[in-house]
Amino acid sequence: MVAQQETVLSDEQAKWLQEAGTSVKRNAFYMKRALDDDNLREALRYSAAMLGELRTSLLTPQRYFELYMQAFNELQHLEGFFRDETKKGRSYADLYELVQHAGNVLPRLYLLCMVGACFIRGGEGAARDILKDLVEMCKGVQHPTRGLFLRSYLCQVSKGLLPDTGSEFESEEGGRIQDAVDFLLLNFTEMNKLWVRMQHQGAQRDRDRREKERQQLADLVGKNLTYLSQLEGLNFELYQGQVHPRVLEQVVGCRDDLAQQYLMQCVVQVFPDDFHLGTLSPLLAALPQLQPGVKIHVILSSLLDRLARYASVQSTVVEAFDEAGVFQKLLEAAKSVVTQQSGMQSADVTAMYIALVQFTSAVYPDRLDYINQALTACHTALAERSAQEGEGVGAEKQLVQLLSIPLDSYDVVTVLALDKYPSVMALLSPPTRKEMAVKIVDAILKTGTLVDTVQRVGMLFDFIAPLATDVEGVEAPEDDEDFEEEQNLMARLMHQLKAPTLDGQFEVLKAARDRITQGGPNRLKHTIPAIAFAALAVVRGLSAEGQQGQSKTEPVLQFIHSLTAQLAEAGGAAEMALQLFLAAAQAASDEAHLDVIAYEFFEQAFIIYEEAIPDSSSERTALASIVGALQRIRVFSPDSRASLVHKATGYSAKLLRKADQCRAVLACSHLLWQEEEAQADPPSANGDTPAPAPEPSATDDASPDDSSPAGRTSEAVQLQAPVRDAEGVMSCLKRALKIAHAAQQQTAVARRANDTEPVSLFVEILNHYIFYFEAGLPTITASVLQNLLDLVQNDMAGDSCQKDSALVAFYKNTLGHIELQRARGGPAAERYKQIKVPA
Amino acid sequence: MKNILGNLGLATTASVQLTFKRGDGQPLKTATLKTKGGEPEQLPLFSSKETICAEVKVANSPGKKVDHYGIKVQLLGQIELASERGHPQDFLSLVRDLAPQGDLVKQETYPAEFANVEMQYDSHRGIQVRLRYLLRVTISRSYANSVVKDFPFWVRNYEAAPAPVPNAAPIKMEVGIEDCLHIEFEYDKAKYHLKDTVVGKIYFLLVRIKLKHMEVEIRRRETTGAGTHARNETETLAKYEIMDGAPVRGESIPIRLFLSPYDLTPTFSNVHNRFSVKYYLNLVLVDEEDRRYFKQQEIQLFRLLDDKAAANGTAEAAHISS
Repeated sequence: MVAQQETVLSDEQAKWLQEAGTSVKRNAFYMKRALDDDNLREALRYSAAMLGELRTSLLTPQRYFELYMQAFNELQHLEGFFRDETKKGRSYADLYELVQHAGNVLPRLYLLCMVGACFIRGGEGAARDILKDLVEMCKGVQHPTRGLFLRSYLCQVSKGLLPDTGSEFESEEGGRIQDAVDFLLLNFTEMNKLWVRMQHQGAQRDRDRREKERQQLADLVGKNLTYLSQLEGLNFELYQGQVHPRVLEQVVGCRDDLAQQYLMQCVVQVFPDDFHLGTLSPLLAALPQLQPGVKIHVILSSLLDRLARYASVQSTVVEAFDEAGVFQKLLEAAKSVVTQQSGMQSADVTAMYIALVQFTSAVYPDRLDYINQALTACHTALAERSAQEGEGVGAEKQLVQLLSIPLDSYDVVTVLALDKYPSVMALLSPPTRKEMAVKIVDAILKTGTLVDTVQRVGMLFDFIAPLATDVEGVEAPEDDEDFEEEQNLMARLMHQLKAPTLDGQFEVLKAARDRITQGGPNRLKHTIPAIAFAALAVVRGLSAEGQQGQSKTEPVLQFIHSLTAQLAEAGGAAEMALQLFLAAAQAASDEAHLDVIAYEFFEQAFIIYEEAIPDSSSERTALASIVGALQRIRVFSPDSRASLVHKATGYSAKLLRKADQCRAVLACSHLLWQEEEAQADPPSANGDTPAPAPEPSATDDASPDDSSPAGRTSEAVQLQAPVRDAEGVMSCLKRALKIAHAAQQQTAVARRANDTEPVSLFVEILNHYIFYFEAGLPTITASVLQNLLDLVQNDMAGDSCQKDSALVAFYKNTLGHIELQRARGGPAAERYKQIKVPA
Repeated sequence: MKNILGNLGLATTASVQLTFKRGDGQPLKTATLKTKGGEPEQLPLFSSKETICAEVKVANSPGKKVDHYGIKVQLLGQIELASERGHPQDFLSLVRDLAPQGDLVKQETYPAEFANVEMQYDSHRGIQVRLRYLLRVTISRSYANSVVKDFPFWVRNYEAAPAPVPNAAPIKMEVGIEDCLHIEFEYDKAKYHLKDTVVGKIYFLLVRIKLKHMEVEIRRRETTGAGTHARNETETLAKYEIMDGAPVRGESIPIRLFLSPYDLTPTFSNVHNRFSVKYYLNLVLVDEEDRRYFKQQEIQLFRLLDDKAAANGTAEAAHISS
């Protein structure tokens, strides 16, 4: 419907324009003919008739403009004629009167402007007086569109004729720059009044269309300001004393949204930077007085853009800024806008501060306090607004933008010093706040920034609180995948918490721990491992610095212990907790040489194994891990070790599936047989190790070892010699064989003829035998091995086994190994020679 | 028939010609008058206190003798109302005898002179009244109709520019319709010469109606009779648009109206107790529904002495109409 109406409208417009255009052409034709006949009176009559077409009220501004241009071009002919006419002796003064005989005001004034311009250009009349007369007489046209075009014509034809400084029209008589300024200001004022008045014309329902049309006319009004700015004689004093106050008075006084929006920006754009700097206070003071509908932030940001560019070009400008207290003025202005424009939307308030912060970061890269002040003001403003409205702040997009500026322009660590930052963040809705937090973490990870002090860690966690803890208003596990991703980020972030010293590092980690442990079980799963491993790195670091001493490492291990315990308690992450305990035990043993603590870690691991491992396959894996870890531990006394080994072996027998039992027993065998060369660095007492230039503080810390409080639970101990229990190993191997046989029988009972697993177990057992054979276990002789080999060979001959290509390959490789060892030579080869490898 | 009448002396038996001349020997001035018919009319132009000379040529028809009681020339000033056409009232009558009783047998030329004639009224051709001056040559005859011939001329009187009155108050008046429209208009003075310019301003003190445009009209009112018998005829001589569009409160609109293009006369008040001609500036405001609001203000017009020279010949009427 609407579209249809518009088409009809535009069709009509085209028709009207065409009719008017035809009439303009016709009258122009007669006018030119009269000019050829040298008939002034007729020429004037037709030119008035031609200009009379501009009296139409039917056309939209755009169409009217087309008509205006047509008439404008035709008027050039008349102008030329007038110039000739004066050569014939007729004075411009005569012509100036003559054209005023026209009965209709609009054509009369067009002619008057044209003659007036000739009058000045011819040097006959004083520019000042004529301009004054013209700008006054034009008041006769009060119709907005027609008046605007008429005055725009006046502006156009008088351009270059103003008594500007240095212009040929400047003189005592013709006027000075002051008169030029007065003329343009007056024309500007009148045009603006007309422009503003347009909105009250016509029906209320056409308002939108009318506003659009007004927008199209904006440049006609703005042209006056452009010309003002182009005056040679417009120096700062004149600008400050007259142009600026008078323009602002008009702009503020007109109380029109559209006009204020356009003109304020116009002022900002057309006048030079240093003028703005000099008149900053009054300019800013005008902002709060603008209409509520004006987008002040747009104006402010274009002003700030200019000032920032100005500052970037000339280094002295920043000093001038400081002298003028530019930042404070801007901040005050922003505050005052917020106070006075109570209806201003939060989004716009924020946008205003975005401009301010952008400006600050561009001009004052080192004034973080300024940014903090701006954030403070923004926060105050928004908090008040949301309190009044009783709703959220809204303006999410802008707030995110605001908060992103410091991240883009400063090092993230620097941003952490902005103590108002988190409170501004808190204004965001929870989901957005979290997005913002993700952004911050991303920024840290991307730039590889290290967060190196406890204080900064505290700040950081304030910043990213929504990632670290549950936030009210957000259902905890929204999208699992997203959550995982976020927490992965958090985990990665933990590795960016790095102080320059290990002590500091530990402090930093503790601080982080205090925060992340509030995160609830779902987060702990991700964050605790990360932070625990970071702590393990500290232990390793201390060890590398030769500070295995318990006073140093023990607290760290305790820290890891309590973290891991928390993780275990949290539930759902039993395997991870178990792995962590094992890794910690490893560190306690290898790095810190603290047997009691290591034992405790194992104990915890076992407890988890017993209580929390949910299913058999997890059990199998967990047990493998335990065994793997325990195998390497060298710090335990034989008794401690024996009990742990016993426990582990006991677990292996309790596994559900025979195959699992078998494999676990095989693994357990290794607990009784540690490699000689497993530990590269010679195990020695703590004190014997030549510490590589320990730091004084470290030494100080290390010295009170002996006098450490009685509460100490463990001492650094020497590493034990490797365990080599051949008997035990043998019993494990035999048990494995027994279980494998049982498994084979099971298969037969169940008639699973194709199940090759039992055979596979035998091959695995064979491998272990070979291992221990090579390791020189005395009870494994060549004949023992040969027997097993024959047994396996026999089993492998089965059809089903031959079809299992993986098994065949496994077996083949095993045999290949024997061949290889035999071929290699040396003592082992000699022993292998006794073995008959099946073909 | 012609011959019979001629023989009886009833036909026009004598021709009369008259040539105007100025007493001061200067070339004769003329006034160009617009006529309804189109062709402008040119008449000899005099002012009061001037000496009007005439050369009257009288001739008989060839071969006919004209006997008469005497030949005279009269200077007449007449006022003639449309309502009493044919019965003009003379307010001035001077006579010069040119020849005593006798016979006219050949062309005779008689000079005549009216010295320093008091002609206080300007010639005027209005709608319902005209005031005219003429020289009338009469050849009186006893038994036949006298030969009478009129030779009209035009009179314009000039005034010296009034001495400038210090702090002369302009015409200023506030008018309005309550709660609707209040304006204050101002014309720079009350008295203008015919080539003068009316300069003024309209202040809008209150505007609650949607105006479309505003114009100034020059109106002429001719009044005849007096009291209950008074009759008025008004003509609008000029319409001059001074504002296009709707002003708002506080606007002031300039007026600059050049009088020269229009066919104006001085204000005549109470001419010989018969008629008056007065001029008014009528300010007309038209609203969007074409309702007209107006305020009429009398102005005095006079003919300035200085433009006496310009008065010789056509007034420059470059009235641009559109």
